[in-house]
Amino acid sequence: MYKNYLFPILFILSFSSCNPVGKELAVLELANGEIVSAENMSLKKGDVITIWTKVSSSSEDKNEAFRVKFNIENKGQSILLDSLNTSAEDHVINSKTTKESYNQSSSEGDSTVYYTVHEYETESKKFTVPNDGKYAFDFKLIDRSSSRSLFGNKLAIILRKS
Amino acid sequence: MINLRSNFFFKKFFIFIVSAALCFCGCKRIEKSDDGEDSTVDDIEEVSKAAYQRILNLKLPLKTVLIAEAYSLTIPQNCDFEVQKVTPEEVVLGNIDLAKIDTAFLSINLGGIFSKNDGLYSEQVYIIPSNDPKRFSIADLKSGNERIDAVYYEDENSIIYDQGETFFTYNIQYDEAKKCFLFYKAEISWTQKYPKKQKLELSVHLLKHAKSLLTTNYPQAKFDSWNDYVQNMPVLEVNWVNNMFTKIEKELKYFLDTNDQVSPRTPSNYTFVALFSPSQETLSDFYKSINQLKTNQVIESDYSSREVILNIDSQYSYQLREEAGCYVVSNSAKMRDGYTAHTFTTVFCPVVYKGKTFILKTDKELTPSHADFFVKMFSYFSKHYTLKTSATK
Repeated sequence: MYKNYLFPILFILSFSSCNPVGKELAVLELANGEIVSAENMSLKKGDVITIWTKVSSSSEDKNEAFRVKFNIENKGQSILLDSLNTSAEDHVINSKTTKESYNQSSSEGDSTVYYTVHEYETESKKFTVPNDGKYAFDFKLIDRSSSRSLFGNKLAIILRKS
Repeated sequence: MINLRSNFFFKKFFIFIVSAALCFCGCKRIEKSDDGEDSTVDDIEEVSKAAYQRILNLKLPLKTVLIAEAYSLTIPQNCDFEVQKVTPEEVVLGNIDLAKIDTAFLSINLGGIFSKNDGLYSEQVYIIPSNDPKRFSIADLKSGNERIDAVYYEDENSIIYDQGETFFTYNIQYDEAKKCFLFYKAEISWTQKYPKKQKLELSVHLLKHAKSLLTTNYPQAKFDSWNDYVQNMPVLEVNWVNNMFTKIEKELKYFLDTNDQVSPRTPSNYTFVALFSPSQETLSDFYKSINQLKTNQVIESDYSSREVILNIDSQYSYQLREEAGCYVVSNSAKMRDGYTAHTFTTVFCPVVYKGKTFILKTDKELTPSHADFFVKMFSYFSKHYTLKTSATK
């Protein structure tokens, strides 16, 4: 009876054992105004590099205006210069929401403030390698939010190859 | 019946095998593809005579300075110095027993471009009076319990060794005329994560500083260009500057927005130089300030609502020098009571890239001795949009 289910189950298992988003090549923590780079990446023609933005945002800090510019270089020449679409919601993975709290003291006494932290990875750009060679990926976070607090967004770039 | 059952088990077994194979083959084998790591062996055991001689023959512009109105020391031209009195308890010189010295003595802190701001290394000279020229020696420095992991260079009055990846360079000289010992101590900390070979090469450059301290007869040399600096500087310093300017280069070419500025952080999280991509108004304010300095008519302007590249203040007196496409602005506080104030220098250099003017600016308050290094560096960058020379490409 269960024979009919066996093959589909094993078939699904065979795919779930793989990493469907590709092999992770580099994780780069972004710092405002600084260029961070993944250099000397040996890539083959036809490799597809997906640039994921890992965002950790807090409900305490909304309305943050930031953008991430990036540049891809081969043999010292820029081959792609653009901004990342960090708010794309088409393909979001590893999303989780956690509740955090901190104590606040005021004249009316101490109180606990609760807030949520939303962490997720969003697919921001796909890049198909045109030729075999060594590539550099540069990213720069430009955060123009007027107030930056302890709970500000944390951003990282994850490069994956598929 | 038996045949039917065995057929059923065979089918099940077959499905299992196929699925298991799929499970294992479905994934790509993860291979470490990062072959960009420096795989050169870094197990250098000593400084070769050829390497030592090569560094000793390199150009090093020098100047002689007077310490505490009594001692003449010859130091690199782009170095500053600070003098203070220290007690023997405050100083460690290898294993030398300083308890024998009962008085405070002079400590001179040498401040080069790399030692001063980013703390790539430190250089100290101690002047210890003594009538006995044999009182201290390298042998004393090595003896005792102090851990020495490896000695890379040693001669009659010098030693380079490491202790837990911190590199020490010592030199002991006796000044017969002044009846005092000159102890030179340089330290490259283990926290500076650079290849051992480069740290050692830098140590020999520092030893050269030590060996020049009592020189009186030296040629008046100067560096003619950035290329000249690069060919005579320690590799570690050249790479350090190139790494900083790789970021400046990318900011210039790809990243910096108009009306924005950037000061990339150094490995120790300091700033080094700033690059401005000014708006027309900000650029025009900059040239107005330069013209005021040229005509020596300092009028403070109200730029408060705008970004300012060169802020001039009537409390200071200014000097402007134009050299190799750069503006060298020195300012010192106007003093009325006869004291001489510290003079600080800032180097500015317009860089025209694809028809747009950017301004490079030194980000730290430099002293006049450091200016030439930045003038040559900025001037090279303004022409080539990179600091990489044919020797370092």
